[in-house]
Amino acid sequence: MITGQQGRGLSFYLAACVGVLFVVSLWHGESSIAGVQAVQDVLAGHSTPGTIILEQLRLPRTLLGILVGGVLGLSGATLQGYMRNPLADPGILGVSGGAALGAVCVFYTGLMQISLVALPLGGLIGAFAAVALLMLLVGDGGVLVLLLAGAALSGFTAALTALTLNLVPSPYASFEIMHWLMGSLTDRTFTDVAICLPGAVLGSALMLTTGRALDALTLGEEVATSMGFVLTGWRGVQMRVVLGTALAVGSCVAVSGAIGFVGLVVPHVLRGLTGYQPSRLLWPSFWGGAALLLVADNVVRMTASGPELQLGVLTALVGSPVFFHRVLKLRKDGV
Amino acid sequence: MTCLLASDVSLSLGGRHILRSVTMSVQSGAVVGLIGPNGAGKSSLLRLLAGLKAPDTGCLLLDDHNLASAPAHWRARQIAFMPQEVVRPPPMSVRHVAALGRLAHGESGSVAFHHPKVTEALEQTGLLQSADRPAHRLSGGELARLSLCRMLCVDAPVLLADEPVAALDPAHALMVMSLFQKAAHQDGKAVVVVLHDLALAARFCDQLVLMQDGAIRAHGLPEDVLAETLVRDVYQVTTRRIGTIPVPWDLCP
Repeated sequence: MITGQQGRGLSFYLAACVGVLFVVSLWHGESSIAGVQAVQDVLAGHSTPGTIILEQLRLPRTLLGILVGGVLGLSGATLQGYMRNPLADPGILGVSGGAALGAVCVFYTGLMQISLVALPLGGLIGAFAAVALLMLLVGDGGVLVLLLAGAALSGFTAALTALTLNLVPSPYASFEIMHWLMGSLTDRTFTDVAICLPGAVLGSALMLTTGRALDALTLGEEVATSMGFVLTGWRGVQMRVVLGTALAVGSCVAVSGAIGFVGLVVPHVLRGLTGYQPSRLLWPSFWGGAALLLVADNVVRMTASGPELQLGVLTALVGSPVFFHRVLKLRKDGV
Repeated sequence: MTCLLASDVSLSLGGRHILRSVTMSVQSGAVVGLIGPNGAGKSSLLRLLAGLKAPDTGCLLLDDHNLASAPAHWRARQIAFMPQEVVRPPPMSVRHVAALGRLAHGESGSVAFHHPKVTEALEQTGLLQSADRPAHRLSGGELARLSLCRMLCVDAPVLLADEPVAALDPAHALMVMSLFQKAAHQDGKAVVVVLHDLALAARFCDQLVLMQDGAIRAHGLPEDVLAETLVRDVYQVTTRRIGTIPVPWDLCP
């Protein structure tokens, strides 16, 4: 029996892993650069091909990997804790779908030709519109209303995205859209980081405030309410969960595209190591998600010479076997 | 001296009247039993008393504080609640689940885990030997005791329990009811318990509130409320007495 005490240092180890992967991600890529020399050039303020690759390509890509992976892991842990449903993942609220629809609209209207920023901004606007609609739909409703509203919104945005794909005149644009929907961190810049960062930080901060309420919710909504936690309404836990997840995930999907499985699989893998206490799962899930996405992104870079593998495809390919193993273990343990 | 008062409260759900002008109170040092047939409104009244729901009309007062406007964290420290349906907890240890009761005081982690009140509550509910066992593998009766244990960990002056002995064998049912009696008589807590077992109600409660169709049918000492004609009329059963305790015997013809 894991008592939960063993989960204490987990965040530290995972953060250290992310630190190591951060360095590896800066060093490792399609073009080989002299790492130490490039860092020295950056510190000295010299502009060389090495510093340009390091500063303008690998650094933003790596920072986005940490942000996007971390947010997906954290929001998965928060939603699974709040809904007491291990199948909950960030896509369940329909906000990812809203971001994808916003970005697809940018592709469709050709706004991308005007500015490269149009794509993530379109995603962000789509995500925020989905958040607003979700809030209006849910109102004072509970978990069931939230789940149904999320499912309805997800279905609606998926239908509109499919319709846009249907109507898009050029097969090339259609290919571009499909490609973007699979998720990637390739060629992202500091502009993307700037677009993603505010929502990701604010949303994550909101989610991290819900830990104790999530612990109380393991005993049911009535008990949690009796212990002084306000669940619904504008100042309730649900609002923090929904707004936090939506802001953070929407901001991330807007710049990276839809990256599946991280939010579902990371909390599952780490839950047993944190004593099944939802509050102890939040930070480890952030770091675990970041580590998984950095590993996946490094693998994507290794295959860059062949046909480019999309990040979302790889996370699903890596995540599924881990998930299969977890399911079999849970069945064996009778959980 | 704590006093929890429901004053002329009414509640409707989906157009159906659940409670009609109910007035009752419980004071420190007393065990009040809420009895009545299924659907009489006992659990709804208990939820109102716990501050989990606001009445349509009337008010709930705890020591002159209106529960509807009182801060949730203050209410959580004054009133501990045990629901009718106990949610099966995740695979945490029994002590971890019990320690979650300390969240009402803003305590979590090792502070809550090692709190003396948690050890005391585990001992009182007979779960100290099982403190390291995984809570999700407990039997239904053990889970009910764990829920009671979590409630005792709150260390609140008011205890509200919805059918706390429904899943328990006679020995544990007696143990739990003795615990409530001790909490009231020795520790000065105000206790309200929803019960279906009239024998336990007669044996352990200082006062009984008999409910029927969302209203209070009778209120007073157990021997008065459990009068044969009243029980027959409300429950549609005949009773026989074993000593002074009425036992439902047969359905009314």
